[in-house]
Amino acid sequence: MLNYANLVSQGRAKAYGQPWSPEELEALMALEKARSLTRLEAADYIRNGIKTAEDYDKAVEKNFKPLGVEEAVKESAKIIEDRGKEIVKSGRKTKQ
Amino acid sequence: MLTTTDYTTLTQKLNEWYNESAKEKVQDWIGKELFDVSETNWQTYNYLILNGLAKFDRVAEGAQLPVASSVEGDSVTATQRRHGGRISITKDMRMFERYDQMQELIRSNVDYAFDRVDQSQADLLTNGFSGTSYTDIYGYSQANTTPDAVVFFSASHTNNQNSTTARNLIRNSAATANPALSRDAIITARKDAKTHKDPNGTNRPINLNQLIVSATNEDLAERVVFSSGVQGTPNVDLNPLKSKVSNILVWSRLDTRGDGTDTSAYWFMADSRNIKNTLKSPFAQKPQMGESTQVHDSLNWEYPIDAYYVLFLGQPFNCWGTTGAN
Repeated sequence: MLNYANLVSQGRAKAYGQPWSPEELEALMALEKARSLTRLEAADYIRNGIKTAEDYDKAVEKNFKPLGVEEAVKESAKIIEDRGKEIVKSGRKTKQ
Repeated sequence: MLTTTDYTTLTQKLNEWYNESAKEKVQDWIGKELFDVSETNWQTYNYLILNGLAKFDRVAEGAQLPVASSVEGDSVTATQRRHGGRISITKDMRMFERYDQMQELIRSNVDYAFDRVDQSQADLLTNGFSGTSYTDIYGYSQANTTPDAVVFFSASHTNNQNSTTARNLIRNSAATANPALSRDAIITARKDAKTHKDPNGTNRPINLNQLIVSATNEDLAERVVFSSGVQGTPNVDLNPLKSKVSNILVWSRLDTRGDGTDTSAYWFMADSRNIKNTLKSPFAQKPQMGESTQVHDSLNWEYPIDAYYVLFLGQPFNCWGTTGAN
């Protein structure tokens, strides 16, 4: 098991337990270099599917704020929670 | 007929056969030449890369020498896994004293155990070019990344100090990665390794003096390295590789990966002094045969053969590789 706490906090892994794919890592290096970003900044854009310098420029132009790992974890937790709340609220009957 | 009173004698006999077979098989076990197969008591093995001590400065007369502090790199932990099988000595074999069959069973299974260990080790190399994990020959997920979470053979290994990267993916002089086995690619790989820099920017030369090839590439490898002149040319220039690459390791398990993929074009180079810092396979227990138990209904005597080991990758730069696709 790799030390994902360190790797993610340095932008060197996609998420806990998930390394970058070789293609993503290549895109990360290229973006970091092309736009003089820190690895952590570039990593957030790659995670959000923005993988080229051109796409990065468009995202910045539109004032896009990429989600970081922690924010994404919070967001997904909220989505899961909301699904449960939704089903309870809708009052659907379960089979006996 | 062999009865329960012969149990001790038979077990001793089986153990003798086991030891004879294992002794022979260990000699054919190529993986142990490359992997660190040392024994460990740790269930969970912890490995830490040190990015190198970087203190060696000029000092004024009477002044104190500056302190070198180690810079810790990435770490990885690996937990031992149990592998094994049972050999069944049936009632029929004992009834009719079929020692020939018993011996064959032991020999065959010992061979198989070591073959599996060796193949699982070879697969870590041949799976080291894409993805982040693969299904090993035992059907379990095996990571193929080094402690930096980058696939084993890569042009962009990262570190935890700065954004510099380093490669261990072989390329040729035209900078094309994954070249086929050739003199040009060997020379470029050796040059790349010699100019390797650590994260501090210090040149830490790696001497790739070992060529690791499949059985398919054996002849070509020997001609490229051991020819007295430059291989494939009519000139009489000498072949410096002859003295630089001191060892060619032919590993037939590189020809076909455990999943059946043809990987015969893959080849690798290693720094033979330090390769065991890269390829790690600590054993909590080497393959060994235990005491038998009797199965109640069949009356078979079952002898377990088992081992505890784990595979993982350490510091990547002592082993370089290519798929040979280009």
